[in-house]
Amino acid sequence: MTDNNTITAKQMMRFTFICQTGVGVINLPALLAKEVGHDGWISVAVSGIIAMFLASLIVVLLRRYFDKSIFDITRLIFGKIIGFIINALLCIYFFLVASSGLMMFLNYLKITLFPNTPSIVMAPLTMLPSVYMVWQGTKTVARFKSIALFSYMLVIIYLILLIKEMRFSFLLPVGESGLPALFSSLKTAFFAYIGLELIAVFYPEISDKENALKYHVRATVYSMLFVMLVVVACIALFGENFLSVLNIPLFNLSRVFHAPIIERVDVYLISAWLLAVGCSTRAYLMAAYYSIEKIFKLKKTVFFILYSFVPILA
Amino acid sequence: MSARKGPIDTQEITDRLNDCPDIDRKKVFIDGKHEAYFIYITEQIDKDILQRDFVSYILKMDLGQLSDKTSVHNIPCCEIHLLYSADDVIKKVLTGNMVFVSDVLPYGISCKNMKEDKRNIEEPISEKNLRGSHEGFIEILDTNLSMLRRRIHSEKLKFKTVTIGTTTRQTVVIAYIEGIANHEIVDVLFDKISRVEIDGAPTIGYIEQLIISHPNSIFPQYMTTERPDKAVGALLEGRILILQEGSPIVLIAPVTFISFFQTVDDYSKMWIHGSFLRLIRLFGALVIAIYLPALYIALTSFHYYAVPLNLLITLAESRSKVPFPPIIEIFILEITVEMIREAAIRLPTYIGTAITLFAGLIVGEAAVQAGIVSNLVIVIVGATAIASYVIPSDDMSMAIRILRFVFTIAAAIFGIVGIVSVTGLTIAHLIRLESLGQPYFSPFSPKIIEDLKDSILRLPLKFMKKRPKTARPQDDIRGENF
Repeated sequence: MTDNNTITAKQMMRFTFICQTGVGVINLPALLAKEVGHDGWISVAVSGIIAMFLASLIVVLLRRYFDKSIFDITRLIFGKIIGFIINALLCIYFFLVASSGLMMFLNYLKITLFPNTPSIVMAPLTMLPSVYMVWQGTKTVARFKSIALFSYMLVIIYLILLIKEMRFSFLLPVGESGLPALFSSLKTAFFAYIGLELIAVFYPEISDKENALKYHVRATVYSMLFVMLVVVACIALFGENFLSVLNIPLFNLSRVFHAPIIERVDVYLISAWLLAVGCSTRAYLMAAYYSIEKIFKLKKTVFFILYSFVPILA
Repeated sequence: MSARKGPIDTQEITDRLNDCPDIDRKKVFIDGKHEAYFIYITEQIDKDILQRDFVSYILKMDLGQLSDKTSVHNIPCCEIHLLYSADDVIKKVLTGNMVFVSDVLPYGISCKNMKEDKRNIEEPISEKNLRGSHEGFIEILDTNLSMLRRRIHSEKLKFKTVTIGTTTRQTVVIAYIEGIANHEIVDVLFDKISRVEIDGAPTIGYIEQLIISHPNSIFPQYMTTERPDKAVGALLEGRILILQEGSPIVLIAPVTFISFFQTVDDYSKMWIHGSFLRLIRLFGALVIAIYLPALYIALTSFHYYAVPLNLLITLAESRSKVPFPPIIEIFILEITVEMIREAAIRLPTYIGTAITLFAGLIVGEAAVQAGIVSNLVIVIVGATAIASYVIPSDDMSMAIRILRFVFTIAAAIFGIVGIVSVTGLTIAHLIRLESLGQPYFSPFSPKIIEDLKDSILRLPLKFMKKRPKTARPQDDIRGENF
């Protein structure tokens, strides 16, 4: 079992990166446009720097407890009973994040591709790879991430294709919305970085801990760059007014380009992005599964996976 | 003339060899009075040579000389062994030796000079190539080993022997190059094969299924080949071969997913040509053979708006005559194609022509006119069938064909999301798989940038100075210590 779970710091980096960007980036540009207009990218950058500090803080703190995960640490600090309650809460939190991420994506799917299919039918299907991988252990989940990076490449290539259509004057004047609005939008922008806490769960499984800090901060930097790229592209393409009424700017983006032969790029882009979204919800599911195993000291069974399935459906 | 009794009881041997008419016993007398026997399988020994070099010498010796080991070893015959038990004697007789036994001798004397009925060394039918050698392995193990040795003149090429099969007692050989192959992996494999419990393995596939770590996967985890040049290439990359007595097929392990798309020709041609072929194969297998029917179904039944407008018109026209939903249409043809393939493999050639004729009728204009399938589906299924035969390995092509059905069904139920989900599942499974403990999907994930040189493209040989990491070779750089 431990053998199936060990990962390298580099894999952890991809793990965190995809976890941070997968779901959030789909509607983040629109949310930011509502709050700060065309200055969304600034708040992404600022919250990115804060996230970097937090990320390094987490790793530095974890270092003091060398071989322990967050669950052992809570038990160590708060004692058995309170520690158990906190751990259980954490576990529930991971479940909820996973299921809300999935629900969000299923909604998007409903809007874009399958208006008639009920989510309850789609959910098991989209969960299928996740369940299989979580069952097989962290190693498989982490290795899959490097495959999912393919979707990111696709998005970036697509954005490059769109450069001709963009008007970067939409971004000017910089900082028009003012400092107070910017500060209040930090909270929204920070959603892009949720996922950096997962390292606390998987820290004991990382084989080269001395690199953990470096790669963890790098993950946050990559997330920041990618989210900024998408936000800037959305603003430059749609302008703040139109952007703020859109629901799913990333997918709206994909309808802009008219490719010959393929006709509808968005169908393929959305389905490719499904891989990334799957990864990001899977990361939380893995955390939840892993934590259940740690807290309740249960050995892995297929039933357990099925059990972890249930709250997501609900 | 002491009538001492040796450890070998000729009566016991005679009893045990009862009802084996293929085994001959020729009675002779030592010094004109002690009974002795030559025991051998008539059809497996070379009588002329044995009579000249073994029988005649033994008959010239008296009891004293025969009891003297030195003079026995001086018999001018290649392989002389002294045997001390009835079990050993029978084992030697059964493996093609001529054995001389007598109650008065302290040991039995065996001599090997086999004359086997064997097939000529020919080009394997299942793996043809243009620029490699035209030799193929045959059923005789010794010949196969010598074919390898003829290509690698080095004492570092080692063969480890295991006997498996409680009834058949077959020899299985593990071949590797010492100093290149990782000895931990060799040991693991040796252990695995030694622990095989089976009464007999008619083909090497039995052993393969018993030692792979994921027997329930659809992907082959050990590669099979009949080509010595391919086997040598694998040995030089630090991989290990498994050969079996009586099987022209050799197993190669550990291998990766991409190994099943490589052929010897990729390396013997210039690198641009090799890369081109590799691309065609990967594109054919992975994109067309798996996705084309699934995409057709997803587009026609769910996402018709993604079809270009001018194609949509012809598509609608040809679909309008067909009473079935696209999934049934595809299934009718796909299953027919699979049946044609299965029929063609086992039938003699003269019936095969008839099959081709009928196949042309079903997968052709007649089916369209009968209103069963549309024109486009015939093109799609035809392209798919060709694409899946482009894959050099039959095992992998089988896996891809099964996968195609899974993808088709997923696409029929959930459209493009189904395709993506099953893709995710397939990749997850590939990542999970291991071949002899080494990651199966290796150069892609876990990422080994260096090994990408020989995956999708086949880069020039000067980039190939380092051995691929798959087999964890002890000696990384080619030609350094040899």
